[in-house]
Amino acid sequence: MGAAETLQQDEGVLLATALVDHVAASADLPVLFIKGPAATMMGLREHHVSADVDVLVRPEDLNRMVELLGAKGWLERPSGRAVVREYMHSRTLYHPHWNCDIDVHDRFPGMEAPAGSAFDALWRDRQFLVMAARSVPVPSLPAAVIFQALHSLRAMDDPRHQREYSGLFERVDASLHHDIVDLSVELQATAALKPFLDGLGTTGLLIQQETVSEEWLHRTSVQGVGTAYLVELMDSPWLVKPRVLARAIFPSRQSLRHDDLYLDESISGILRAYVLRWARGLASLPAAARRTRATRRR
Amino acid sequence: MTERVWRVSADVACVQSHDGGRVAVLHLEQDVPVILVGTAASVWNALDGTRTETELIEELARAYGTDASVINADVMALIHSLSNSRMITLSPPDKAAS
Repeated sequence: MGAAETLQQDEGVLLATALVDHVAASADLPVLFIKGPAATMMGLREHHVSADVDVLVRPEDLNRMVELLGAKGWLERPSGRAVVREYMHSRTLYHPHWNCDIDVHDRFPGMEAPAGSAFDALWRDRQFLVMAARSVPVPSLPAAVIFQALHSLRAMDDPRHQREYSGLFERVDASLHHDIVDLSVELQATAALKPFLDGLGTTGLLIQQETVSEEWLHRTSVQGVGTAYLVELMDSPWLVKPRVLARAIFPSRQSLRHDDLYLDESISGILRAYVLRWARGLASLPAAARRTRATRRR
Repeated sequence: MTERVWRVSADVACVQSHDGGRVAVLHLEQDVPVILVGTAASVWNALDGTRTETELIEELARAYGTDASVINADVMALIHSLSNSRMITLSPPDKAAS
């Protein structure tokens, strides 16, 4: 008979999806599985192995969902940089015996409609896909296109996101255009999606244009820890700048644990983590400075 | 060997490799998955709620070019283990017969 083996990443993501669905259904919580394998199965991106399960819940269900998964051994990852401005939209859970995270989202960046209304619109149009031999709820195809486009637009510094974004234009059938525009309006995502809607040639279908939120502007310009600290340093009052600088150079243990769950917390381990972080920070500084300058010129 | 028929439990999620040689299985009330490879995966794939234990063992023996008596104990041990962990359940007799 076969011997026990290690769980592979793609297996882990699909099984964790089924697990989250089961936990949510047992508590009568509506959930939608977004991005990841669902996007691949809908033909919206090439196959690549996801690192986590992305699940969207109603905002009022976020704590309950985290608690329920906590009862199954899923622990919350320490949050990152306390000093740097962060717009929370999800909580990340890990399990010592699993090889993937679970990101529980209560809203999705770029969708400016109230999170509850956005969820209701997405839930209304949901469909089901089979993952790990279970039928799980996922967004409609137009909604999945919107998730995919917003996800890519948020991190266009990443070559994979650039590739997925440009591939999306070929993968989206023209018959979907009206539905994508209508749903974008309902989700108040037209401003963030403007480059995508322009690319599809659907801008004419919009009655009025929205403007991008401060959060979206921040998210699309601040990519990476280095840029985040740089922006925070520039935006902070003079009195606060030394504290931001100190935290950039000597991040808290919680922040180090965010980067490495198995952080060696001895003095030499912390020192090693600092040195690694300084090396990464220095290497990313020129690009971060360029990006910050470009954003300030917008 | 008996005429019992086993099927995968309703509360199980599983991911099979393309060639069927590996299956990752999770009982949704349990916390961590188990991985079955090789002949264990073959046994899992054959637990479809239609084959009796006898048919299942004979079929596997044919597939692996061996005698049913050679693999009988191993297959039954795996079936018991899967049953104990509630991964599989006995098919109701009427369904098994149909």
